[in-house]
Amino acid sequence: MSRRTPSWVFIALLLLISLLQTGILPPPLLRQLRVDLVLLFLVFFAHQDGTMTGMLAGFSSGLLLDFLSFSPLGYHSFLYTSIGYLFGLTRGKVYLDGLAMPLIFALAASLIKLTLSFFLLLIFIPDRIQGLASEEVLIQIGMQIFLSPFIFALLWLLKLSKEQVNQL
Amino acid sequence: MESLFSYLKKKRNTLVLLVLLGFSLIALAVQSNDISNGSKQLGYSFFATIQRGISGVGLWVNDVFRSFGELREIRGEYQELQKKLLEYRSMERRLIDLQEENSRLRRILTQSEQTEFEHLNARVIAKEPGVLFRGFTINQGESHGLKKAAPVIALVDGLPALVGRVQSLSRSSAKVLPITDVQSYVAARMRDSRYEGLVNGMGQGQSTLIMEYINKQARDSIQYGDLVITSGLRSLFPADLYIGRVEEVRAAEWESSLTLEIRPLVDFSRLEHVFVLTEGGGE
Repeated sequence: MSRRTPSWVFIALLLLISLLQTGILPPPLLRQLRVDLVLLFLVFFAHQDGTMTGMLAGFSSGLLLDFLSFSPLGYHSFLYTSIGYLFGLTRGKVYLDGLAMPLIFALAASLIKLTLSFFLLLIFIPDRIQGLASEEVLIQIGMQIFLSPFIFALLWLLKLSKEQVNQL
Repeated sequence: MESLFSYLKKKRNTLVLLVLLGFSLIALAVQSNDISNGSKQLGYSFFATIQRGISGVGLWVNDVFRSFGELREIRGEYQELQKKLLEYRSMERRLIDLQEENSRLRRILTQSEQTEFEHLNARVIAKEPGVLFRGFTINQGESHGLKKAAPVIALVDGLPALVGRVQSLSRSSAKVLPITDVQSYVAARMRDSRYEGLVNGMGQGQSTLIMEYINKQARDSIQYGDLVITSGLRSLFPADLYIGRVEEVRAAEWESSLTLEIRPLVDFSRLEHVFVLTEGGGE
């Protein structure tokens, strides 16, 4: 019989990913391209465990990123809480296949993040808004979409092996 | 009362969402005017300790793997040297190579010692994860004697090149705002023609800087590739730190001053070691 993964495991994992993303551990290529791994992990976790986990994991990892980065407190926490909630709503309603849905999820999450960023920057930090139109943002979104099937597949594998262990 | 509780229980998710988003928005509203105030500083100090720990583990793992590689290299070199011992001429060539390497290292060391500013050596331990905000974290902090707004430089071909300034501090690390950031302004002058101006970062996605307010008479004295240095006038930065080279001169007829595009001397994508000046700058 498979047991459900507790919500705190998702939250703790996402906090760890946030720490790794700000530190020097990710491979140089990912660091150079500034791929938002937290976003992809959050989307997967929210889809797996629902809105409450999505919100709490998004809020806590966003808050951590706010503390460690140059962004003002509340910027990432707002973005990731909203995205965690929205993708939590898809739990049980959308079937996550191997290729198409990860691509669609990554595209949707990136666009939602971009839209919310636009409004937050417009209201609170207007001098940063021109950065959203940069080539780097487009490359980042492209890389996130490209990597999403691989990262989702990795997370599926980890989930399956945990369930197999529980069955023993 | 019971119906109120059951209503709240039913709407639990919406309530949590509103509380979390409300907190984020209030924090943003308070912080957007000053991104380095108390609560953020407290959180930064706490999490920076964990970040530093993780960086330490990462560096240790890197060192262990590098040691394996080095061990393999040393073994190869040893076998090679054994063969070379049999041949005098090869050994002589090796000796010359070593002498050249030795003199090159001595030259670099002398250049570093000749830096006229008192400084602390620091290593870059983390870089900004997003694309909207620029900066990096170094492994020296308040306990090492660093001050807020202290100038940060790097040696590029023996020249002291300006990197940025310390933006915020924790006990054991500090965040550095690079000169390419839009919030960075540096009083500057042309090294050769001595015309003055103000250098400003262009921000996101841009690796060049803009130098403005240069007297229009300077048009004929400024050439592509000319060096730009800090002027030290009413500035956080001491004079004669190298900023970059002129890449483009813009002289619109309707404007009263020149605008230059400057390519920084420092390659920020490969920055690993920096020097934080402990005198002649900071608040």
